[in-house]
Order: sequence, then structure tokens, then C-alpha cells
Amino acid sequence: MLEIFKRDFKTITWILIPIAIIANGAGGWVITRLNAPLYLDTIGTIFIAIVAGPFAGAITGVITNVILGIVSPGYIPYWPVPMLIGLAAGFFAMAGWFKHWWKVVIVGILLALIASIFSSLIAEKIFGEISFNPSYFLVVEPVDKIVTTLIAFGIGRLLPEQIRKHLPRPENIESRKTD
Amino acid sequence: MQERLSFYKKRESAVHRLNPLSKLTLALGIVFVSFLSPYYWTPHLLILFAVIPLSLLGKVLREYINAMLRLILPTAGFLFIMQALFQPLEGVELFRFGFLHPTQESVLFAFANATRIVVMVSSFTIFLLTTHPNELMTDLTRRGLPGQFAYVIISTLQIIPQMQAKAQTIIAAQRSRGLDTESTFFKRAGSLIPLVGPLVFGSLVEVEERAIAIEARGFTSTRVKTSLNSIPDTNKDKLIRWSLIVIIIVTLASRIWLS
Repeated sequence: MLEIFKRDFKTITWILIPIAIIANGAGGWVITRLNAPLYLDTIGTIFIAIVAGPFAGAITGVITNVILGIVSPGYIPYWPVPMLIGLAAGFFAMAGWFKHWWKVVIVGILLALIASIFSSLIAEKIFGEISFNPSYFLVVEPVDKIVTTLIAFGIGRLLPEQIRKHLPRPENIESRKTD
Repeated sequence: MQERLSFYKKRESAVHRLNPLSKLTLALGIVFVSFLSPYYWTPHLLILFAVIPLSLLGKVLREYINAMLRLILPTAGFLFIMQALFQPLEGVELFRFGFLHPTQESVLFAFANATRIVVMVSSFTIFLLTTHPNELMTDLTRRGLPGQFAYVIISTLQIIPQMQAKAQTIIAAQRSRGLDTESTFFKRAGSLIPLVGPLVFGSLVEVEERAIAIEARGFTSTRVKTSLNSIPDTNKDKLIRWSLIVIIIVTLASRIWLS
């Protein structure tokens, strides 16, 4: 366990985490400007989970939530959701699921499942009732997570080699040049 | 352009002079008491006798009321309406409108919960208004918080305004080349790639420079670091912290025995 932490939390991980947090916030900001029914607020979390392992992903998710919570307090109770997304994406990446785009789509669907189940559970705790909204479960959340994972995968693909070689888990993404 | 994203207002006041950890304990203490107290009116009284006096003492009443109106009341109001209408609690029915039939109990329950949210967000708002993030992080690092966490929080707050400036530059540059940023949805979505692409890869390229810069400052060194700025921690601060801890324990005990 300690070995994993030592390997994943290198200096570059700590530098990438703030950038990922801002990418999360920027994704949400861009989407509100486009008026699209998506969130795209976990791009950074999933990217960190791919390149630096599940625990770094989880930390990124939680800190994003806390910082967004300063601006809009409605986010705060949902902190387990980005944490679980980070963890799950990290484990999928370790299993090699971020190497082909069609596998990435499956990961997106699974992450959407996790996100929708846990955010409904939390909403039930706060508002006292489960609101089953089929368009959210079947369209918004899966499309959002598929697009998000594909963007994170794309960034990993296009990453310059000079940064890729410093990452804790470069083997999780296949650079284009090695093809 | 702001130097960093922060709510901090520089004033001369008794609250500002407190040690950051004391202020954090104070904010957490108010939150714990309002959530744990077995008495119905505690959160309401806390707003009158703790939150508002603190904002007066810290000379941030105007900023606090501003934040309250724009941020806190909409959230709490939404929560109140949702819980008052949809919480299925048995009791005296107030009125019936379609499938909605709020009871007296559900309205009272929602009112207490919404006030708790107001107390929680208020106490943190006042904390952020009177505490500089750097001071808080320096003090917490000195007390044993890993420097890496302090780095993540502080550099996130610092990078946000820088990124906003960079995004504005890129938008202006791409518009001057005739990029469409204001028409139909698909055109706008397509225009995102030349906007977000340079921003993301630009900041990823900076990563290596940052790594060298912070390594040169002993980022991964495990030796005890000394700090240039000393943050006062007086006996008064210690007294405040310990009395808050006692208050929290007493509230917890009364919660266990009285309910």
C-alpha cells in the first residue's frame, strides 16, 4: 500500500492536481456558457486517476468539490461522488481500460452508473425522497461521463512525450508515437 | 485583475488578529453545535448571538450580508421548500395542493434544517473573509499538515485568475482570426476546440517548469522547514480553542443524554 502511495504521489502529481481541479471547474463553466445539458466537471479527476492512480484521482475529486463548494455550497454534500469516480477510473486505468476508445466508452457508462446511483442516494438523504428522472439516468449522466472519459483519454493520447515520461503511470495511456 | 481567488478582506480587527487555527476551530465549533444541539432553537439563536456579532467584530458585516443575499439564502431557501413540501412527516396538515400536502412537522423540520445550512455556510464565509489562505496554510503546515496539501490548495487559488486571463487572451486571439463564438450550438461547440486546446496544453507544458521550480525549493524534502512569516499564537488563542472543544463535548453529551 505504502509503495503505491510513494509511486503515485510524485512531485509531478502534486503539480498536476491543481491544474486538474481548474480543468474540472473550467469544464463546468464552458458547459454553462454553451447551455448544454452536461456537466463535464470531472475531466481533471478522471485524467489524474488515469495518469497517477486511483488515490490521486480521489483526492482531486474531493478537493475540487470543496473549492467549488466555497462558491456554491450546494456542491458540498456530494463530495463522495467525485471521490468514487476518481477511485473507479483509477482502477479501470490500472486494468488497462484506457487504451482503446471503445473500452473508454464502456468505462464512461460504468462511471455514469456509479455517479447516478450515489448522487441519488445523497439527494435522498438531503431532500428526503428519491426522484427517479429517466432522462437523467439514461441520457444526461451516461452521455456526460462518456464525453468526459473520451476527453480525458484524448488529452492522455496527445500528451507530449517529455511530460509523459515523468508521470507515475505512463503505461496506462498509450502515446500515439509508439503505435 | 485579482492576484488570487480569495474572499479575504484586509481589516484591523480582533477577529483578524486571531490565530487562523482558532478561527477554524470557531467556525467548526459553531457548525457542530448547530447540528448536534438537542434544542430546536439553537441554530436560530446561533445566528443572532454568534454569527452576526462575529461579523460585526470582524468588521465584515457588509460583505457577509452581501454573500448571504447572493449565495446562502438561495441555497437554504431551495432546501427549505424541497424539504417542507416533500418530506413525508406525519402531523397536522397545513394545506393540500395536488399531491403536495405539507404538514406542520415537515415545515418546522425544514426550517431548522435550512437554518443549520445558513449557520454552516455563514460561519465559513466569515472565516474566509477574515483569514488569508496563505496564513492558514502556513499555520497548518507548521502544525503538521503535509506541505503537499497546502501546495495544492494555495496554487489552485493562485492559478484560477491566471487561467482566466490566459483564456481571455486566447478567446481574443481566435476571434481576431474569425472564430465564431456566438452563433448556433454546434458552431459554438466546435469553436471550443481551438479555445480549450491551447489552454490545456499550454498549462501542461508549464508542468515541467513548475516541477523544477518547486523541487529547487525543497518540495519533497522531509526536513522541518522554517517559515519567514511567524503567525502569533497567544494564550488567548489557546483558551478560545480549548473552551470551544469543551463546548462541543458538552453539546455532544447533551445530545446523547437528553434525546
